[in-house]
Amino acid sequence: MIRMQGRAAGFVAAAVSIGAVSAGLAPPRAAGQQTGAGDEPTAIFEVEVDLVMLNVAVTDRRGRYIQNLKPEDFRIREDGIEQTIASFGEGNAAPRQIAQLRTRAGSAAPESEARSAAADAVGGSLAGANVFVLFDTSNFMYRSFVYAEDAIADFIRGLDAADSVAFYGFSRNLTRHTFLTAAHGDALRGLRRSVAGDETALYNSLLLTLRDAAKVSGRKVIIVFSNGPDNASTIAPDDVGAIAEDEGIPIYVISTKELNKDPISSNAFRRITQRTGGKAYFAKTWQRQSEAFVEIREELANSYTITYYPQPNPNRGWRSISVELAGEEHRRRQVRTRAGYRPKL
Amino acid sequence: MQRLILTALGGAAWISPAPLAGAVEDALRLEREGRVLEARIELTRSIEQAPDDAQARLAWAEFLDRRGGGGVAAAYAQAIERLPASESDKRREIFRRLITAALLDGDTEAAGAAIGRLRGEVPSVGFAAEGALRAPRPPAVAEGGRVVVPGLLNSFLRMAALSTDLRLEELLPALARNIFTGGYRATGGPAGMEPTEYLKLIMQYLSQARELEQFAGADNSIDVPACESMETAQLLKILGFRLRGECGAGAVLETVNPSRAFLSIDSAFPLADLEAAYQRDEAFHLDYRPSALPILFDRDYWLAGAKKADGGFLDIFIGDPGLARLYTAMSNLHRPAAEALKSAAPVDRLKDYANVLDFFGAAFEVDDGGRAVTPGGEGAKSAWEKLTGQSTADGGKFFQRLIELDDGWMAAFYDALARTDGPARDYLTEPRRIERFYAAVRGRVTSPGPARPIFRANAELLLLTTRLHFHDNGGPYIPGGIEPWKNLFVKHPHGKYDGKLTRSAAAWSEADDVIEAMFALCRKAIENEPLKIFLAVSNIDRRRAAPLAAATVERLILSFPAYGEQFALYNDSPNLSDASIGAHLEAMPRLDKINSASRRADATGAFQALLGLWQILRRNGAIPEAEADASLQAILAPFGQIGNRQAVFEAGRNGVRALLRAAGREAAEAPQEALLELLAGDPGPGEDAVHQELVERMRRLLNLQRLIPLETLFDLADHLERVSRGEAFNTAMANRLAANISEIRLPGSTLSSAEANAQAQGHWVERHIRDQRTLNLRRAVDRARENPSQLLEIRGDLAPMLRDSLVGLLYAFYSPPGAEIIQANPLFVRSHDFLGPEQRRGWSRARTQGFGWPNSGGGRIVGSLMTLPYGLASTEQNFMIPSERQALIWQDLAPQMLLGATVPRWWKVDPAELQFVGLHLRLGKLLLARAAIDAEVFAEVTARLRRRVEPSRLWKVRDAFRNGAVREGVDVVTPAELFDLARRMLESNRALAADAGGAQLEAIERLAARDPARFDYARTARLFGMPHPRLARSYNLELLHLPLFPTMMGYSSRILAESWESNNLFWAALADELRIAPAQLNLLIPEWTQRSLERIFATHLDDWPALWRSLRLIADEVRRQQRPRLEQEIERALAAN
Repeated sequence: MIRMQGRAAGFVAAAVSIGAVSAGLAPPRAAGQQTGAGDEPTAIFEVEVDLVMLNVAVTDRRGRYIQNLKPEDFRIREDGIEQTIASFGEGNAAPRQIAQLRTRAGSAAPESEARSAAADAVGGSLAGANVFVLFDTSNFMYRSFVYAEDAIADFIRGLDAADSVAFYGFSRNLTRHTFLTAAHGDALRGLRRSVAGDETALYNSLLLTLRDAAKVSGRKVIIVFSNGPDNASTIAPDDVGAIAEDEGIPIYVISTKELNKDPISSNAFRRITQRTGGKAYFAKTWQRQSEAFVEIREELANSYTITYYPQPNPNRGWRSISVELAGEEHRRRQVRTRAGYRPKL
Repeated sequence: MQRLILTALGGAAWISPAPLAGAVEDALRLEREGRVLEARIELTRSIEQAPDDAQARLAWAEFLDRRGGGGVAAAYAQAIERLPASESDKRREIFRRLITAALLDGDTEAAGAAIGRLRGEVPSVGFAAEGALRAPRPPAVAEGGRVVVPGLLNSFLRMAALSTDLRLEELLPALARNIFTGGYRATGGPAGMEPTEYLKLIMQYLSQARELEQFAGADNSIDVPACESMETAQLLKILGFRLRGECGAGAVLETVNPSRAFLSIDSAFPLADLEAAYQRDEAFHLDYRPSALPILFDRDYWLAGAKKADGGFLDIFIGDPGLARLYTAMSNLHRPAAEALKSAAPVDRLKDYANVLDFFGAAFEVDDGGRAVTPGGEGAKSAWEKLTGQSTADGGKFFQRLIELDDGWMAAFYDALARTDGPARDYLTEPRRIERFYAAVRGRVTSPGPARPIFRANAELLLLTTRLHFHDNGGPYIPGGIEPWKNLFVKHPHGKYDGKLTRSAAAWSEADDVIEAMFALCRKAIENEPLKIFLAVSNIDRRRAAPLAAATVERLILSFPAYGEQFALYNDSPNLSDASIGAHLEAMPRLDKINSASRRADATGAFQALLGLWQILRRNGAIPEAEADASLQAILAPFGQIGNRQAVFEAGRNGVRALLRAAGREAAEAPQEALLELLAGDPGPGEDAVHQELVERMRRLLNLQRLIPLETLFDLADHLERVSRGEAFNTAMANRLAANISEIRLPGSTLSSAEANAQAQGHWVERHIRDQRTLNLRRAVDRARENPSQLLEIRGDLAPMLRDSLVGLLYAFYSPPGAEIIQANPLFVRSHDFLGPEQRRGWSRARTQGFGWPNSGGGRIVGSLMTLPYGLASTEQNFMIPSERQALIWQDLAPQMLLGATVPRWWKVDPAELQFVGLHLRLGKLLLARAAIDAEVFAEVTARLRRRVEPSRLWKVRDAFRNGAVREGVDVVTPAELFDLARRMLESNRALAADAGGAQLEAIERLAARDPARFDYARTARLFGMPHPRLARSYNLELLHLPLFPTMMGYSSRILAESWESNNLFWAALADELRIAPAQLNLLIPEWTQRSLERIFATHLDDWPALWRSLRLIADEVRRQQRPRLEQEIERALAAN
């Protein structure tokens, strides 16, 4: 019996109860718990299995995306320990099962269960990405509010039909204008209903968006449209970045060069996007964001979604992840993904 | 009116004098035993078996009436149909119940039909208030009584920041309030006031809306026949957009005029639909009718007082903040009083006093003869007339004089006295005292008056009159007698308050002298410290079985400025000895004398955390009353001698032991786990699962903060002691600790130097965390290996960690629903700052510091843990996600609401205790519904409501009843007021309570007879009241039965939030209705509260109806969610039977 717990995507904890004698419908119990007198002598183990999902972008020296790579092209290590790929997908295509699930106890779960766990975690047969758009409607955006809206509208219109999109706005608080939907027109409606606000609590709102995104199965990204700086959050950007990293959710920030007048905020944007495997874009004006949109869309369409169940690892703190390409032909290619994560306590 | 009197066990017995049939009897017995589900099934079955049995039908209807939920009126209607005409008395009573139930359902037609039938049977029956029985209708509007708002109403509401939940007649008053509070700012120049961005946008929006209106034409319809049309160009020009791309799939709207486009978006013009129409190349249609809003009185009245007379009414209105303020004030007045004022004085004269009327007018009332109704009634009338020099016979003239008299002091005084009740009113409205205390408040120089600011400033006056305590003989309670207070003024240890009072205090001889001084200080613009001390000490004393000794009162007075926030400790355990209070008051200054700042912070943190834990365990009963003094003193004693860090650690560990010992836990237990269990409370049978969930939640938060478990720290300390005696050092143990600590990240460790320099992370916080990170136990042990005393001293290095682990327990306990910082910022607990930038903030109110980037490395709390519950709630409230765009009410309200959900625990609560609350709320509603159709009952009901509900709101109830909106009228009254109404009616007019709610009365009396200690009002207040950390300086749940306070400036706006006491009563009644186990409330009330806060759609800070509306909406959602469970339960039970 496989039960997915909580957030079912970037980082997923699945409790697997395996009946050594009978893999029936016995209720989960504490690890190593003995059955009571008179019961069937069935040992039931409950182990925690962490499914890790990676969004991996591979580019050549000119930054062009490399397509059609195979699972066997990738070498994944966590704290230096080689990992086995559980599922693999490219772009907006549905991911496919690669390896049989192995529990930490070392015994194999029934294949059907393993498949459903991995498929659940990466969105089952659903193709496309879940795109959370977060729009800064605070005072700092007052002058450029309308142009930023036009830019966001263009971005949403340009998403792949397979992508789902949620549209959130924020100033002092977060507002969920449109929940995650495959109907992009609804997101545009939400966009056109946004209201100009006052203070800027970007990092608080980004955290809340991450919490929402983490509850969704499948591949997801957060796209922030903001000119910063934050003047109302009680969360520091690096704490938010750490959570995004743990959840495996890349953050992209679309801003303007105006922000470069505030190097601390622009550095924070760069740092938070880099550590999550996303990117920050600073166009001259909101009207000139087309390059960023093309890049993000290309990245969504061309990145690989890879999952694995970590091999036994005593480290309960930060675990570094490295992804390399095997083979001489890939020697000069750039691989971009998150740098690591902290397992859930 | 003929009224039926039901006896104590009357209800069913009187109505059904014949012995009940077996099945019905069984059902009632089951219900009495708390087996509600079985009772329901038994009754359902008896109806199925004998559908025409009147007795079974009646029992079923009464059952529904008692249990809440719907279907009551229909069930009574079914019962009547089966009652023979010969049982006329019984039929009459059931008709009455049917009528009130139908009115509460909003079914005036059914209520009217029932009254018609009742009159057919009993022609003499009297129902005076026919208005309540007609279909709801909007209030009548006179000629010239409307203002036209161009365009879509919702767009206007968005631009003007008005809730869409407001009724049409409420919109103009709400707009007026927004205009004068947020529409203008003082420039200081010759122009005086200039419009804010908010107002400019409204004006620009109105201009755009009028252009769109012109475009829409006479039929008020915006029509674009096709993408390729003239209309497209015209419309897009007005909206500020153009079409990019060809008509068809590629057509996209793009900004061309940013100002216009902004207005189009901000006002939610349906741009996406317009764009979609272009893309599909279809016609676009939008109904663009203007809206007409009713105007109070009529347009001409207001135009007569306007600064300018040109332009439309709306433009004149928003262009004149003085007029807007008068409009708000008059709208919020008891309507007959407003009418009387209107007749008494021209509008431009009233406009000069709009601020006074706005702040203090809600208390004005005139009776049906036009006479002013003054606080204190007939006995006090002469005093008011003497002071104002105006007869009360003409209410309008009297109130005009009241507001014009003295810059608003008289009005403020009048307002404060009008909100009193019981002994306070008797005492304060004694004519001589009215004159004396008014003279004190007024002073010699009246300017500046109390109504000068935009928000009301002097909360003290209201606090003084509503929070005084009285002896049984009616005299005011002066803690410690007069001497300590005389000394406060004569010796003025905290600085001189008032020269005149200092001189006069020496001659004080009676309580009135002290109270007069308190009144006198209420007029000062500066903080009224003596009053705060007086109320704080009074709060302690009023809960005690034995009053505080005068010497203790003196010490409390002396300690208040520095340690006043800590007084809640004495209130949460009200019978602490004077010796324990004294020991606590001595311990705090000693800690302040510790020279080393970091040691002082650690000692203060550990001290406060231990006392915070003690306070919770006292509140939840884990530490019994008998152990209170001993355990407190055991915690305090070691903190008297903090010579080094090792002593801090030992004091902390000793405190943990004292807590566990007092709570009866074995010393050998893992202390942290034991404390977590104790903090979660003491569950009853079957309540373990919820208890474990609460424990697990706290455990998880502690893990996320990567705090070192107490047992690890204590084991390590013990081990170091053994090492000092020669045992080998256990490296593995040190490594475990090091592994935990290595996860602690320094704030800003990932930042560049420039970024780190730009941060305002507290110096002491950073040092505290760095010290822990750099601790290398193994090296320290190696260095000290030859010196046992040095080895022992290493335990001092564990003191900062022990402090954090103890503080973390409080953070975990008090974290409100939806808390995010504690989950996202692993340094949140460690960052608690017990010193502050001036190193003097350790005992002050907890505040959040570090909002915004780059000003912080994350928010942190500075100040005392005694006020942590509010501080945490205040910090974490920012993570709630409003479902509406308006969150104005939150700043002070939300933390207080969260406190009400996080502080209490509900264990071993009998489900019947929920029913006890539910029955009272239902009875309160039934009394109001009966009042809607019976003027005599209305007088009785309002007489009891008056003690809490101001005249202006009572008028709204009456007005709603007159207009057939009975349910809306009932909704004007809050749950706490309904509860109080039912209680007062039961105490003072049982016959009327029986008449209105016989089924409820019978059930209440049955419960009270069953267990008088459990089903009493004091216990209900302890279970389902609210904490009042500012008003009562206590986290114990109480019902203070205060009137709802208005918005006030500064900290006092918290007082407004604390006067709202309805939440837990309302949730208890909901849980009863849905048969939710009381223990589940520990999980559900925090969740429901959070959802309610997120749902509030408020227009201004006084918008209580928005909060009350939100609670009802969430309750409806919960009902929908729970319905399947209830149905399944019934199905299962039926199947089992």
